[in-house]
Amino acid sequence: MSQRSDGVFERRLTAALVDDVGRPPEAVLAWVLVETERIRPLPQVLAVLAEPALVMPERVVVGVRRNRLLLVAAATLLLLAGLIAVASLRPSPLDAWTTRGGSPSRSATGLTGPVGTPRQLWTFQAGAAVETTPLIVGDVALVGTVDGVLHALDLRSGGRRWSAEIGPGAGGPSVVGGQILFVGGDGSVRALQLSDGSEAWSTAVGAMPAVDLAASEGIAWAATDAGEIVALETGSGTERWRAAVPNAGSASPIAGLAVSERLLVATVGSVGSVGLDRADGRVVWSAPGDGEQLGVPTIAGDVVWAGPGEDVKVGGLSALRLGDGTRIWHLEEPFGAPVVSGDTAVTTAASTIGVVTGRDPASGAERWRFGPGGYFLQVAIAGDVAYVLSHTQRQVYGLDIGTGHLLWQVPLDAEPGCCLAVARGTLVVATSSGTVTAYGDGERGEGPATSFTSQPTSPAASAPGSAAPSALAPASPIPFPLSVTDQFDAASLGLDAPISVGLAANGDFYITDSGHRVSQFGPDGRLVRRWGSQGDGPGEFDFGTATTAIGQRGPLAIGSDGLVYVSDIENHRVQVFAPDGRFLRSFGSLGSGPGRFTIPFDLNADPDGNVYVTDDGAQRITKFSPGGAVLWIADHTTDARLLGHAHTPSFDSAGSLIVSIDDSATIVHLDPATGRVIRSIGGGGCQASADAWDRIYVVDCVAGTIRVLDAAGRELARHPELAVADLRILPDGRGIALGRDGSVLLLQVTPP
Amino acid sequence: MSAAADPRVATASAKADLVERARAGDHTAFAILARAAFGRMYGAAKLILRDQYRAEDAVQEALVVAWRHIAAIRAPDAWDVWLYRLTVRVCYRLARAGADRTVVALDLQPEREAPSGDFTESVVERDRITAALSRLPLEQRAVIVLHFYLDLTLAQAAVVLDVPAGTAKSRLNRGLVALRVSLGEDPELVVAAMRERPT
Repeated sequence: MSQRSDGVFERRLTAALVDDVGRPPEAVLAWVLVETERIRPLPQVLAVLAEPALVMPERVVVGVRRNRLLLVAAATLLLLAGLIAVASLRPSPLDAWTTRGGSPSRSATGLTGPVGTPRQLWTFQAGAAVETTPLIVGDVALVGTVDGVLHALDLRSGGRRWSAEIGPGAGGPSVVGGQILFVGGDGSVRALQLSDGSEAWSTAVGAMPAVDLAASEGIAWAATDAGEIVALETGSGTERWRAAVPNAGSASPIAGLAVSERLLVATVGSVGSVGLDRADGRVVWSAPGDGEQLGVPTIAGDVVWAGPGEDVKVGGLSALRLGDGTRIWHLEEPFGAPVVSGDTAVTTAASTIGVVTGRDPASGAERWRFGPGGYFLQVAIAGDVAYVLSHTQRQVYGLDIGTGHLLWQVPLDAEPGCCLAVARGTLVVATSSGTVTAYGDGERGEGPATSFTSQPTSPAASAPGSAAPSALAPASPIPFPLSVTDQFDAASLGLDAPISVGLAANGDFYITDSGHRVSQFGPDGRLVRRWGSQGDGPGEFDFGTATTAIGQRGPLAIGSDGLVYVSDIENHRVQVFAPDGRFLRSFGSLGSGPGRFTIPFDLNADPDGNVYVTDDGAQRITKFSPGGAVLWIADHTTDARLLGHAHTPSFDSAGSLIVSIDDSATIVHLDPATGRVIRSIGGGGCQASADAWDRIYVVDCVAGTIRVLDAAGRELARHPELAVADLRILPDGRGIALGRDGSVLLLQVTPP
Repeated sequence: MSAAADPRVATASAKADLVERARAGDHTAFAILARAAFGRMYGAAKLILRDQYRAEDAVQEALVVAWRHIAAIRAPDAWDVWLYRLTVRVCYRLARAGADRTVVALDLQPEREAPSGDFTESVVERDRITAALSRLPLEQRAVIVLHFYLDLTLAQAAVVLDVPAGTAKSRLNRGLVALRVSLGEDPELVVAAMRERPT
């Protein structure tokens, strides 16, 4: 309460000021809390020096007085000397991901990745699939899309700095000397300025976009479909030399390039590998292969590795002496060229064998094996962590390079198109959905953004080619456990376009439709009753219109006592009805404060009549008492794992609340009593429901397909055709879904 | 739970405990404090800068600095004053820089509670007063916002502004005079009324 003795004008002034402010933007606060959680406060000495003294009567309450600064400075001089020494260590120029594989050798070293379990920093929607490698250079992340746009993003915030048209079909980018080089879809080699994306030069070369450029120290090398390598000066695009690679041509195209200090190594189809002098293209050595289709080579130290390409299931991995191409060892297993760090070479099995191994670079002897199955795309090493990108599992795995132990795994929203990038403490991954995600340090905060889902692997046998058991096996597939027991089309039910469905314990099912109505049907599809019309009064609804961005939404839930709960979306309220359709009560209104809703929002009710609402717009979950009182609110400020859009709450067999966060593709389990996050797993989508055996049914946000996961998040089954817009599973194994065609499907879960 | 109703900051001792914890690096404690202060910081920034978007920038920056420099705070009871000072400091910098900002679309505009009573008259009055406020020099506007919106005493406002108490008082008085004259009041009557105003 004010201590002032205000006159009339002062009171009017105060009222005007308060009224003018309006409601503070919560999104700003949300950003602040995310940002501050990511950074560390300054040490006290530095904070005191940085912050001017604030003197309240008689005492200094912030900082120190100026006349004491000298004493402070003297006392901390030695400390500062040490801090300056540390602070002067700028990020190594090697700590950048400048091309495919991180460096021109395709086996980048000197990288720093996120500390601890990576925590999502930001996402960026590129608008089209990303199928070439992301790059990290300085404080910029570069991402190119299949529709021919290259985006430069701020590495810390994901904010777009610029975008440039590079044309569809362009090859993967490489950065050298402040320029971004790539092969255009027309075979030209082009250079853009890293600072603003403006074109620096373009040279017609006849290069193959599918073979990533190699660039280093002012020269870029590109492979042509005529079996040549062309060297260009990166400053101008001037062709320096062009050399034919022995036995390379349209029948045996050049597969990949890697560069060392002196030599350029090219792999050629199924022919073998060739070492060329990078200064003039002179062939230094030629090493025949074993007939397998080779992939991109890697170089580390004085060794070059060549192995089968991504889709090749046969062949073996060879280690060659870089100077003359003589074979050091050969592994008769289809493993691709490894990434090497110190005394560990990490390589993935080509094709869908689904194994990652750590090996002795000198002998190829296997030290460990990690095998979740599926098709791997890439390995990168930063520090003592191997980052493994899985296409099939839609995950990034973090492995200890010494033991192969699984340290963490990060789920992706879709299949990755190509590659990841790791540098500057940041992991950047892009997927076929066009989502670009950056992850940073995860050592602080309430808990890991992702969870362990596997056990460490055991060390492998020492002889090359010997097999060791995989300690981490994928879940055994099962037949799709949902069967359709009955089906009704919308017309037969007398419905306008159905929107959402709910299933009662007595077998009746309820549907909201575009007529702003709720219809109740018996198990045989017989109409029991129908109520509602468009409006904002009790028993009236407004489910929006089909032409808006979110379309019509009218989620409903049926309590175990038969009460009907309806998300009255455009009226920003929940309405509650008796089983006979009588209006009982409503709660909520438009707003961002507690107990208020934005749009859209999903809901469910527990056996006690408490209502759980996931507000997509406000990105939070609220529990209401049966009377509509707010019991708790959970969002990213209460737990970082809730950052994003949460969908349709449901319950598992233990009564835990389950919500799917589509942004992070996670499924989060919460304590319904407190809203505290219990755990999270990967594999989330737009809906997640659990059956009595804790198998989780996840509806894909785009395709509407249903995947079935086990409690650890591993996929058990996936229906090849069924696509739904809404899905509910009851504890007794019955279920209901709304097909994409508007049909209503009654379902039955098959027990394990 | 609204910041105003948050029992975790309802008492001075509870808030002091949170400040101590935040000083020790407890981000959860900082988040509670930030949430509790955010509304008033934003309001003050918006009133000083007369620009919603720059006010957002100011509050963002002030809170990030508060977290980064939190180890500099020596007395937990100075928390609010320090936050306000950070806010005003950033506001001054943004206002003097005259930085243009590319407008970024917001999903939700800050809501206004529907005013009770005579809607039209109160809105007109509000707009007149705030328009007049916009015409004040920055320093006068700031002290008015601190004193009347944040309800700080003149002594506290002086600390926030890092000026002597007498300077704060004179700026306030000059600002009020200018405001009332700008609203059409007779200057002589205004000055007479100000002389009689309790200090």
